[in-house]
Amino acid sequence: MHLLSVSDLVVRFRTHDGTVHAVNGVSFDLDEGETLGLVGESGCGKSVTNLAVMRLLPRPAGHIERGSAVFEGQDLFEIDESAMRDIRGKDIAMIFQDPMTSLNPVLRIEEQMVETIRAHRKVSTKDARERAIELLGMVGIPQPEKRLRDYPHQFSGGMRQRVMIAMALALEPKLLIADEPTTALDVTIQAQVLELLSRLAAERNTAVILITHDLGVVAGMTRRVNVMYAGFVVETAATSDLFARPLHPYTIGLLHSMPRLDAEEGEPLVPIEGVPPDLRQAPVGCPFAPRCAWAIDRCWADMPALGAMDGVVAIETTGANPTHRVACWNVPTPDEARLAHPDRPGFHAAPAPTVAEIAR
Amino acid sequence: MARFIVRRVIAAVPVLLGLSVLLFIFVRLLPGGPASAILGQHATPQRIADVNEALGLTRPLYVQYFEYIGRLLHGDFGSSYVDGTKVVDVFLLRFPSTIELTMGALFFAIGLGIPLGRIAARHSNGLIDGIVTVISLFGISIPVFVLGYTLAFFFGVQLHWLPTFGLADPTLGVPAVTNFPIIDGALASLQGGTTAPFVDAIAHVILPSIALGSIPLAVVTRITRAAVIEVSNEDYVRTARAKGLTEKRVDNRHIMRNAWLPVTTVIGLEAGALLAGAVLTETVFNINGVGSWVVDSIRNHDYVVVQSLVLIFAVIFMVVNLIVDIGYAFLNPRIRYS
Repeated sequence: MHLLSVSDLVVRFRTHDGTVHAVNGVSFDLDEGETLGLVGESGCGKSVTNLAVMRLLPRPAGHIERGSAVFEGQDLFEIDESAMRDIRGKDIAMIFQDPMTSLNPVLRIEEQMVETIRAHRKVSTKDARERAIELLGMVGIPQPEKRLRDYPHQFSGGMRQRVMIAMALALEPKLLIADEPTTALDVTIQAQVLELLSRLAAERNTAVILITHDLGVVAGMTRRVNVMYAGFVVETAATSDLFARPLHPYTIGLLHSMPRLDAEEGEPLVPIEGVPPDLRQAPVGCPFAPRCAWAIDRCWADMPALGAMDGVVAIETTGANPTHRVACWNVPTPDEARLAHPDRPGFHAAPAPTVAEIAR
Repeated sequence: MARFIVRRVIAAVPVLLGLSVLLFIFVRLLPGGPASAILGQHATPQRIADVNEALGLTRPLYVQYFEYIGRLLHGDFGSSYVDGTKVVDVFLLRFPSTIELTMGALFFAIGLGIPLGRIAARHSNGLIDGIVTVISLFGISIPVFVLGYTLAFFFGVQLHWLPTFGLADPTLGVPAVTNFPIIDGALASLQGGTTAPFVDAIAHVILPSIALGSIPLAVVTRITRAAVIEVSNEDYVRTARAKGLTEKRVDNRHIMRNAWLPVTTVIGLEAGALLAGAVLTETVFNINGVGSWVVDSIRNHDYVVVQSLVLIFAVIFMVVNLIVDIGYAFLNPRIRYS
């Protein structure tokens, strides 16, 4: 049994400008102690997917249209609010992007940590405090006893994120969702925080979902990656496979737009042309088609399902060597992936269908 | 904190000095003078000149000013030209009523405004929010005297539920100890073994408090609503929920602790405005407070009384603001430590 099994998750937001199709049928599995990266640009639905799993979507706009999220055998979307509250913070903990704004500015660190522990364990304030000191020491905060009495603004950004990590790990959760945990930090601090996070998670056999737009972070931290685009998972693979042999045109674009230290001097970065689709439109066809150099006619009409590559029969969705799967009608060849553009004589990306063609 | 207070007190000195000069000039710019108020409109110019001479008003202005300030610094707030009573005596007699009225109004505005604001925020843009918005618009739009007389008419004259005159029933013969009607009523109740004087004092303050408190009620409600909605969208509130805290704790500890900051600021401003604005309510409900006294003194050109009273009001306003700032620093650690 998987620790977490999300299937066919659809999340919509009702806004004044219409319905936003934020997540469009996302499925993935996660085993105990496994690390999964969720990669994609802003607004691709990575954060929303996880907020939905936690049932913390912004209300009243956000709602789960359909799907399930089975955690340790129970569907999180079916249980009542108090049962969900027991799971939040205790079994599934979250770390958010900006440690400046994720800690309450008017409450001492002590209160914010103690209340977390006492929300789930019947322990005295004194014992919870002892535990908090221990946790702060564990994440490398000097003089934890003294710092416990401080307010968030008295910590640096990196220290604040350490506090967030300590708080998230306070109850030894089985799953830790880290939403862009290092995006707001200095580069030098990023590495420290990531190292701490992966070490503590590994020691406790805590499963981690790491949400990021930074492929470099994913490379060092996760065993498996889901690449998301416009609310779809477009490619999923073991991390090493994904970097060695990217299959989806979007993944290829992401890898080529990433600055590399081993690049030749003067070698330009290759950006992905165009912009992500307007999520207020109901998705038709592959959402990446308008930006895709490999688009064929079919891409404009049908969204391909995630299919296994390499002719493997049994599909592994999780673990160290999951089956490499991609949602694409016209998968680029390895040579094309290296070139970052199609290399077939006479091939041109299929243009968007005209109104007359759609009508027919 | 002590340094903060000392700094504020020192900063208040030039403000008060400037205010005293302006006050001194402005009350004398009004047409007429205390002599005609004392002597009546048919007084001869000769008698008016005599009275002015006797009051020392014919001396150069700067001499009068420094003499006044000199006395102030010795704790002498002067006496009325018109009836000779000492400003301090009348102030101690009347000010407790104004304080009690102001506190009653604040109690009403905060006690009702914060829950209303929170309810409105929770149901924002729904029916309940709409109803609360209408109530607060109502409160802010109706002039105090209209609301005062309407309340007095319905709850006093028609229904006979509540008294509409003064802050205590003189026939109960409650001895004046502190001059605060409620405190005196409570003392009398304790001594007499009957709750009547205390209940009477409470009953008296209800309608005036509602009349005076209607505008701050509206302001507090709107600010609370806005603050709660804003704070509810903060990241740390999401963190609090993600930690598995109950909604009650998220509300009371994480949202309200932050929402109190703007609300406190507004309450401070309103408290000052209430002290000064009590005059209409005091008139409607026949309360012998400071407000009506200021108006009478201005009408009578009772220079010293006006000067001293306005200065005292300014000091009170500053003290209230200082208390609010201290409270704000207490609520907001980012201010406390910077």
